Amino acid sequence: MAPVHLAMAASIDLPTAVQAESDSSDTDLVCAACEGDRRACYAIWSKYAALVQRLVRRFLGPGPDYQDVCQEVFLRIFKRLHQVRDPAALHGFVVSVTLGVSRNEARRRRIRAIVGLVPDEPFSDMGTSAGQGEAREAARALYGMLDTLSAEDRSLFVTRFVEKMEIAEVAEAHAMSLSTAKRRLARLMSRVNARVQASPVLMEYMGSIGQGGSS
Amino acid sequence: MKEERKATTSVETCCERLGELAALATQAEGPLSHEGHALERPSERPSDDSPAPWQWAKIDRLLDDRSRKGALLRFWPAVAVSVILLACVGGWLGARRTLGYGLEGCTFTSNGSLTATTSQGGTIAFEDGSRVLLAQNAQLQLRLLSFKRGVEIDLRDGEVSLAVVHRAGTHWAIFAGTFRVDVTGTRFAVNWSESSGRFRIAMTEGEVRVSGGVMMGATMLHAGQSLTATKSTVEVTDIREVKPEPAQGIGEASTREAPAAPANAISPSPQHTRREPSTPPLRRHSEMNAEAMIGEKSAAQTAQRLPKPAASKLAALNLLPSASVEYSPLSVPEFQAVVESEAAHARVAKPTAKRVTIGADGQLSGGFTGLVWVAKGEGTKLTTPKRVVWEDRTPLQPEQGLLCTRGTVAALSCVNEGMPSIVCNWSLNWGVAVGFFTRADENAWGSEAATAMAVEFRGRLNTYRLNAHRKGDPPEKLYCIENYKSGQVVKPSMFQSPCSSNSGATLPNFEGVDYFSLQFPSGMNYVAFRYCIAGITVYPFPADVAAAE
Repeated sequence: MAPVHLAMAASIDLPTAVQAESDSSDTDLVCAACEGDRRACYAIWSKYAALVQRLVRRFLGPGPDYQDVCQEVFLRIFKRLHQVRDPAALHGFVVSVTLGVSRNEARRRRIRAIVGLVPDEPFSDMGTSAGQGEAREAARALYGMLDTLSAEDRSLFVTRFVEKMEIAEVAEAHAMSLSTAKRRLARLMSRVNARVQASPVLMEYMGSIGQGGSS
Repeated sequence: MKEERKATTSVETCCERLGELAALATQAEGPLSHEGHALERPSERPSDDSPAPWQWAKIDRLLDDRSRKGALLRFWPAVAVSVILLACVGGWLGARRTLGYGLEGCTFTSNGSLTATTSQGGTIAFEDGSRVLLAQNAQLQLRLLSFKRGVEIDLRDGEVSLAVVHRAGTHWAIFAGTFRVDVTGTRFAVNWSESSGRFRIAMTEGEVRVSGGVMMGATMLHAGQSLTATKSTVEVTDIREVKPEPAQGIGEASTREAPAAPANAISPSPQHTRREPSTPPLRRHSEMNAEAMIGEKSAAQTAQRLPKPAASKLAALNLLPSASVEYSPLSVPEFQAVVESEAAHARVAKPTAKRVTIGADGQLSGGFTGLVWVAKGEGTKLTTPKRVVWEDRTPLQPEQGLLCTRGTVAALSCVNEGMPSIVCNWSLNWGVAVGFFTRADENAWGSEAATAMAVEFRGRLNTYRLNAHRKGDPPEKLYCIENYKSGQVVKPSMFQSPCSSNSGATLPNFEGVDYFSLQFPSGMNYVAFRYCIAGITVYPFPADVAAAE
């Protein structure tokens, strides 16, 4: 696939001032993109693509089709860019849209699983060593456990415990108050803990972590 | 408190470690340590998720596509569903539409009725080809049924002529006072006088069902028939038997040959005044019922079957049926002694003999000494007498010297109808019979038995049956004479068993007979009956019988 991608990249007539646009402030980028400047869109994409990809992957788990979700995220960002009231807060807007699209995708995958359209094995590309095998099993169990949570709880878990966001950032990304975020997070933690207690794989993994940590 | 905080911290730590595991699992290079956990915080690691230019190329192309595509294409499922819904709603609204019509020479009055504006009358032409012609001064209201299912006309006063084009699923009805006319495809005229309560309908084509008013049930009217009803009477006239004459108003439509197109067939007279048909004598509803009793047989057959004097009398009364006529089975007709002349004729022809006396209490004497009774089959309902007197041996009380019974007989239930193998419930629904024991002790007649006898009766025109039962035979075994005529002198050898057989056993004499009965058999139609035994004559000597023959 790589040669093809490179060929496609070569065929794109990127503007020479792309790097300069990427370095521009979010306010300028948003204003330019709202006026239809495709270079500004590219700059926004190049600035936030890594964040979006990481967030999507962490939300949905390992898998080959996260790129489609990322594309959808950016298409939605560019479509709703004119709704951004504070252009300086583009980062939060991107995170919010990414989480929204990811939640939709998680719901869609759950429905597919219900009707029997099970996705490919998502953990096949992880390491194969003994230790990595144990971690792979734990990761599979972890995402299996996350699948049992609601899309909202999953989003809270990813932002708080995977992305390590502060509670205020979590609240902003989910458009909820700080107290609501705290309450929901507390409830989420108790649910996760209960599910971990019910999962031997995760319990074993947590035990090994504890031993490793203590040593 | 400390333990609670410790537990909370433990749960949070657990979630944080799970978060680190998720971060490690989703890194592009899978940086899992040999111990299976991260050596460094994933958020602090340099990201491997650097975007590739081809990804932007794809987004750029999608942005172009989406900007080119209009809302119609992007939301085509919603648009398609909307279009389908709109089509369905539009179709439903269109189909729900009522029949359209145009008015010629008509106008709406202040009370919403339609009336003719010209002396020639007015016309309502419907889009399906049906037409309603209003005579002068006629008033009606239209109720158009949705989905073009037809029209209901509330005739307030006057006369209207209709030519209704038959379509499947349509229903046309006319309400005139308390009368109702249900229409299929047909041509006819209706006249209703609000002031006098007089209702009249004359058929040109097709058939309608008339109900309401004094009619207890529905009456089917066919082409050529007309019905006139007032507040207390109903008369049905068969215009087919009337010689054509220069017609006016309704009569014109009755005597003309029907044109091909019903819509163009209505040609109202200029005056549109209604005139009673002068030539055809009105035939009473009871007479129509008498025709129905005759069944499917033609007038010629009936005339041939009846004695000449009776046939001529019926012809004079215009009672010979020209075709099978529907009648209202529930309307008990007036008693009509249409065979009285026949009975009188038979009486004249007979020699003098011993006349059985019918006592005031129903006790017979002078020839027979037994009591008179009434028996009935399962499908028979009696109005006179109120109860069956066969079981308790209560004698039938005479009415002015006549032994009468009235009621209704249900139609036979048959299988293989119209085939030689037809089977009906004759044994259960056999009709009604007025009978009398030959002796008071209900034994056989014995040595006092006559050699011949005759029963005079009057009643509705029907095929009656005279039965004789021999003492000791099962009740169902009867010797009988089919189509017994009033006053007909019969000998024992004329009684056969079974009844329908022409070669069955015959009675050797009347000595073994314990009772006779005159039966009104059930038929293929539900029918109301009323008949009376007027007299019984016995012929004790063979010489008398020979003289009578």
